[in-house]
Amino acid sequence: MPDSETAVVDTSLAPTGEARTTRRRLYPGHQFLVVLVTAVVVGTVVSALELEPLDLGMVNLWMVYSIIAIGFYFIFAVAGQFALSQAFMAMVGGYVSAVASPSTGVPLGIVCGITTAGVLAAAFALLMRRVTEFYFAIATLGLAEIGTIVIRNWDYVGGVDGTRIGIQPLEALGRQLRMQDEVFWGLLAAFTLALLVAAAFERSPLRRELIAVHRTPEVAATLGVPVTLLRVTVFAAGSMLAAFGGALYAHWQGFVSTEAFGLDLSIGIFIMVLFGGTSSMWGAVIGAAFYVVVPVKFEFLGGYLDVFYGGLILVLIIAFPEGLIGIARSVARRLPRRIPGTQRRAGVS
Amino acid sequence: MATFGATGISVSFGGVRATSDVSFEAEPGQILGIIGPNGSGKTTLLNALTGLVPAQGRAWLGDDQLDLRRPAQIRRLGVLRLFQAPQAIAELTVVENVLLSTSLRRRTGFVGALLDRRGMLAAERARRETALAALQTVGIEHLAYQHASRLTYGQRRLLDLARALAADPQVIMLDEPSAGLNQTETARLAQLLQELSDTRRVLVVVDHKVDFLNSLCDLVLAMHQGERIALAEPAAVWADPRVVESYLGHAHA
Amino acid sequence: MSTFLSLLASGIALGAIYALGAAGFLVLYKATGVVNFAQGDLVTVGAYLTFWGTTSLHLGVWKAALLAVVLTGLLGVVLERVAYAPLRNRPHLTIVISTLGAALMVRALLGLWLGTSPITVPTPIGLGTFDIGGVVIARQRVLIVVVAAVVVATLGWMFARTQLGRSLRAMATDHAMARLSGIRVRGISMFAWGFSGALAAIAGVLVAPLAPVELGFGFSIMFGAFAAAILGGFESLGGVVVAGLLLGVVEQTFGAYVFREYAELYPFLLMVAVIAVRPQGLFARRAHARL
Repeated sequence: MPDSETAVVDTSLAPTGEARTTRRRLYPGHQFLVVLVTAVVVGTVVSALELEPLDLGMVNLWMVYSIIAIGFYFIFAVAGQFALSQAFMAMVGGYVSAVASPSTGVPLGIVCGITTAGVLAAAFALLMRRVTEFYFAIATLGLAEIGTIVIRNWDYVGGVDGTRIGIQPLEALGRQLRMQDEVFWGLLAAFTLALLVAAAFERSPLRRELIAVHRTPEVAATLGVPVTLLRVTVFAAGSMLAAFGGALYAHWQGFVSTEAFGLDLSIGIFIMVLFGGTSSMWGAVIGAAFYVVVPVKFEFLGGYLDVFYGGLILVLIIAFPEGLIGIARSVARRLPRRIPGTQRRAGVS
Repeated sequence: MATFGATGISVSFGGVRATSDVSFEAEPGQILGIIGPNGSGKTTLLNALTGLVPAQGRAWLGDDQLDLRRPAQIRRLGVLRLFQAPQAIAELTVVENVLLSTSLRRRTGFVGALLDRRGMLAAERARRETALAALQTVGIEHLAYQHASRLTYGQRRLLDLARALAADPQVIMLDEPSAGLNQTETARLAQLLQELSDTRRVLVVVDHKVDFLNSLCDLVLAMHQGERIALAEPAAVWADPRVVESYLGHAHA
Repeated sequence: MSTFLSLLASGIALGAIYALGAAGFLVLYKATGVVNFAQGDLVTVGAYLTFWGTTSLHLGVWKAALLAVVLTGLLGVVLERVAYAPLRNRPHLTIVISTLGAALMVRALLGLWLGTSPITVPTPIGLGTFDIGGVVIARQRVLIVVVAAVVVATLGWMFARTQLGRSLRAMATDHAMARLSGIRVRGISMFAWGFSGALAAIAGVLVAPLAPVELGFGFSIMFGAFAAAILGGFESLGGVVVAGLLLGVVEQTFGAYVFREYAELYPFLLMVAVIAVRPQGLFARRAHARL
């Protein structure tokens, strides 16, 4: 890959002077490669297993949720904006694409959905640019509720009482994807695309700028980092990913309703990222799998599912705010060194 | 590199005059020290010159006027300042901290990160060279890939300085840079600042320690209750009776 | 004209509810500096417990309401122990998130216990209306205003005149100083959570009889109450009361003539508008948002 360079010599701890320059990779890991490998693995495993449509449906749902959750990862875990509008943005993507597709075809319809969400999110973030993170969170909740009510009552977009049926199925390479396994391949392609986009953001100056804007906005501003621009664009980009997922969902299911994208889902997306891990985009993917599997495996919980989720939020935020990946990393860090006396290299980031 | 100067800088906060009609001028390659007891308006002066507080008066860098209402414009002209408290961002590595200030001229946005990766990577490599060079100048290049949270207080101050250097400034203003440093570190800092000024930049150093400024500065501006009471070479300033009185008349750190 | 006056009257009643809710937010904010995301669900709990008291325990309405308020206050204390105390030194946003988790649990448990279909909460004053000089007002609305006024007045007296009120105000100004000067911070914290829970319950008990309610109704009211708290600058009781009344009146009068089908979006719209336009509140002189 063009952006990796072979690491030369390890860094010495000489205090000054000798210019023992070290040239590490610009960005750690091989994220693009990992994404492609993951896609190939998922494709291979799923075809080999020959799953029932029901289980295949769960895999499809996992991929849709992953896309939406990765958007939230950028907005919340990287940029520090706790927003409860993610499910609503998915809703926007779904409905707009459903309205547009009969005239424009499905791929362009999805693009319309994504664009609408992006414009809406950017306008909202711009309006709220001077507001504290807490008020911003509440305002996104307000936005989601307002938008949901509007869609529910606006028959042209929202259908009857918020439910639209008869949405065209996904299309790829000229054919419609109707069966669960056909949809799988289409969603796998979209999933891979979304992950590549996310990796592209991670492997760019945006990551450190967003963290700086999150942790110390005043310092970032003094350094010339454009705080408002970054906040607005990350919120828009994350919302556009949500809309992408929502549009895919709409065409896959053939129908959408406002209940499917309510506050419960926004909280669920938050749980995905919190559980899976806030330090990496893969946390969103892991968390999405968790969220898809839990209602099925924990069916005995019945009505207590929400109690479980609420309790999970409490436990995670109090004891494990870094999620699963964070736990894995602390465990890895505590493992003993294999060769005594060697220095452990610090990671690039 | 150009002359850095200001005239008539006055700042009031709700009826209290923090600085009154302060003026100075410094040539490239000079180190201007600013001294004065607590509350004499030294930090306020820096704040005014970087557009952080509303101020009257004019300031210039060569032929360019500083717009005292627009910090971004001042930054773009190459007038940078460091703060009293180190501003390292703990969650990033040292080199990432410095890289933040290298984007002043060519930023890569969301679109660039997606669509122009070749250009972005080339820019990133160039920025990294600048950042590592700056870290090397201040002497903490060996810490480049450490998380900033692991640095000592003195190292964080050097990080601040490296960050400023990476932005290729014409003027660097330092606010109490020797605070919290021991003897050796202070000497090292003085040497470093001397090397920096040899590159024809203007350095402005606000500090309390008379010996520190004495060895370092070509010019000293003494302040007292917001006013300039002296502007001359160090020896002349220490001999000035008004300066002596201002120091003896106040408890200073 | 009389229609307008009727609308004005119901606006005042709604405003009184928002004022009560906002007072709950204010008490908690003054004592602890945080906002409780579960406040809306405590409103619902108050209403539901009254229903339970009358139907399962066969208590009179006043007794059931009193019991509901007390129990909800206790629930508030429980929330303090579970969702707030373990996180006392973490950023405010973390605490807000944990109260969100608690809200989820509360609502789910309530639904499991008392069912998810709408319920009708009884009222001691009957469902009729008063006719005051040609203006028709629901009796319940009059009760709302009267009770809310009494509660707010008591709160005001408490803030100004009692030791407790002084401690609350001290804690709001400087938490560390307050602890050093011997104010029992933990006790006050628990009290504040309990008290704001009780205020929420009172609001729920008062407003629920107006129409059948379901599990989410308190949540919607919370938005209006929160808007009132923001508009009042999160500062003084008087400020949030005025703001609450203003918002209630605006909602009822505008809502009857503008966007009538979208009436349910008014509390949210008002809140977003307040945050966007005037997050520091109507009365503040500072130019920054408080939270």
